[in-house]
Amino acid sequence: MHNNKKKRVLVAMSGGVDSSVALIKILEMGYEAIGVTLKLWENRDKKTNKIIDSDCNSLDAVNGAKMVCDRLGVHHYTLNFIDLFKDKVVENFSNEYFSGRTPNPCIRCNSIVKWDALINQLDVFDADMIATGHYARIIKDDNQYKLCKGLDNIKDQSYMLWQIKKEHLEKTILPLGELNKSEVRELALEYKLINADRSESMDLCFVVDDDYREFLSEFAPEKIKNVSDGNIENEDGETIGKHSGYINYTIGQRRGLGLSMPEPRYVKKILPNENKIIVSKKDNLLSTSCKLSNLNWMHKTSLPLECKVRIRYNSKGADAKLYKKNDLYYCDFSEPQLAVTPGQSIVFYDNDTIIGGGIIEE
Amino acid sequence: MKKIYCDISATTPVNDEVINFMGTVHKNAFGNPSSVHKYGQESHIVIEKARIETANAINCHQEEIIFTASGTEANNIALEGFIEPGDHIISSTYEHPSVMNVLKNLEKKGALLTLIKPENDGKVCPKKIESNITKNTKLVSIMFANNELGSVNDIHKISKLTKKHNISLHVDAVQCVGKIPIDLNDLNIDLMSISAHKFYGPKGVGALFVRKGINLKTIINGGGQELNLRPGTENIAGIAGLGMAIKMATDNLKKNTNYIKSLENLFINGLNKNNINYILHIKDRVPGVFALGFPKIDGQSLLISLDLKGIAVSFGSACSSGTTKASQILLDAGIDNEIAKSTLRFSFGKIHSEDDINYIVEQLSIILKRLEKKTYA
Repeated sequence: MHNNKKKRVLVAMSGGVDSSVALIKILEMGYEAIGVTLKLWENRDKKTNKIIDSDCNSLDAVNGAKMVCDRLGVHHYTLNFIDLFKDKVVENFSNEYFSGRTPNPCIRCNSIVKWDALINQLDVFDADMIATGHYARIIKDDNQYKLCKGLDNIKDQSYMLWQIKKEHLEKTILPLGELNKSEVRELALEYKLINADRSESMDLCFVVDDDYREFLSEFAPEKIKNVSDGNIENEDGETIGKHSGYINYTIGQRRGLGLSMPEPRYVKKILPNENKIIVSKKDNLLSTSCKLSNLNWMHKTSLPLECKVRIRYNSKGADAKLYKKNDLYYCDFSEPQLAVTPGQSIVFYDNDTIIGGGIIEE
Repeated sequence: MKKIYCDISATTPVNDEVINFMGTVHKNAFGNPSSVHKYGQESHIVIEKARIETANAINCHQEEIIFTASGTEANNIALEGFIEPGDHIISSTYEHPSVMNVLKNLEKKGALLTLIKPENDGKVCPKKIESNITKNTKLVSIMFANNELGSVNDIHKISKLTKKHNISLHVDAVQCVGKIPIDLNDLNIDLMSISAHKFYGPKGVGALFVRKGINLKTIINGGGQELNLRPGTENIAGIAGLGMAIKMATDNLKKNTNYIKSLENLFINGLNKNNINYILHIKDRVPGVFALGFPKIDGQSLLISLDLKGIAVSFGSACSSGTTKASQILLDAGIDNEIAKSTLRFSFGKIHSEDDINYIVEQLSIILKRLEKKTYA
């Protein structure tokens, strides 16, 4: 497309420091850049119809992105993906909660919106690649593109990217993968970016004040009507307390159960059909295996496979064996794992390289 | 890279003469127009001169002009100031938000509202207005030209029938002043809104025509300026700029219109010559304004592609941009949903050259070929 020209890169800009520095790095690498901010959601106050700011989508963020692009002499566009985000991410988020599961909408958003939809826009912009400010690396090895952990162990976001299609890796640049957070901040200060010390939130961008229960009651009022109080039972089926509606609980939760036991109890199972919460002692929260669904492979591999797995964003990783039986995928952990939560992502690693990932079933 | 601004309907660049004049006014006429001293008097004179120029441009009396901060403010002052609970208003579904949202608010406060959909030619049918008149109907509010379609309503006919039924008429003429001739001696309009930045004047200043005998109640409270309808210390330079810009626009209206029509022909011939697949939605339009559908092309994608080539057009109205949804206004005018999503507004004016038009056609042709290959989700 641009044989004699610089390659053109679409940089996804949230307005925060990471994506701003990603843009700087893209320009330093000699690419031509276009900044894009994805409009994903709009919360409106029911009474006044005023737009309520939520983190990713605040006017502040969009304006921040525009200011940075302007400073660096880069075009900026806001792309409206509200419908796509609602259909593919928020609907799923809601359905998962009402099924008694704990979803991870950011991971779906990355693969379906930030990658699929943005790569689909490349032709519109006559661009060649996309770039984001995620802390992960893409490495070309034996003509294969591999997704690897970011060099900054603490900031590494590779877990959040397991669902991206393998073929999208060659069209992606992750300029922050080799950097650590303090280097990113230094660069931001060097370029006098006003957002350099703005705190970044880990909250869901479409949920105001991190109150997902309130969000669900507005998003799915018909469904929330059917959620009522119910019993909390122990593993022997004895009723030991009352719950306030099963969507208010997550696996592994200890606080807010309203139980007075000498030894703390944890949520072990959520049973929406029976409107029950099962609790157990901490030891019984441990699992040695789980079933997997929605697998995405990023690397050629054959099963069974011994590898490291992460079952949550901030986990160090555990030794495990993946295998297939009767067309279903399973994971056996070498050491029992605490609170293996249906709906959450499990990501498989070979050292720093992501082999693939899936959704935890039961 | 060439840069061509083709969004004259959204706003215009300011005439050089107007910029210079406004600078002089800022410098020399800074006194408060309400002050008794010489400084105040000088500023006062600047405003009154602009009022005379504005009145001359649309053929009304100077006492009938109220300067405001925008077309939006003019619409608010007119509608809020005129309507009481229980009054019936007839308007259209495709009014600008600065009319529509005021009407919706008035409805909440007890006014009765009838909204008429435009016909497929983009115009509101006068007969439909007439058939909706009741004994409580106090006001008809219809825009002169629609901002997204460029269609021009038959205000002459509408003003005749409102007069016949003894009903007042408000016209949002923001898209028309300086682009088509408006003679308020000939038209029975009672309230009319104007905005300077649509005719090569500055932003942040507008005007409301209030026909003698029409009594508006005050909706903004302050020091009594502008017949107490728009109190607040006057934007002297802005008002001066409006006065000069409206005079320039109306003095040169015929010459500019002929020129713009020649550009229109060049544009359409260019589209045809390049076998570009397009649908021109409206035939009877404000000169230079095209709502063009490009079948099977995503409008937002085309807009961005053109912008990257330096050509600025719009998708929907500027006020609602940033959405991929089809414009309700286009849908109401009977345009199919898919075609509406593929529709862009090109608006040309006196600032454009034949070279500009040729470049636009050339780039459109290249971009459409690229985008046609792909169907977008």
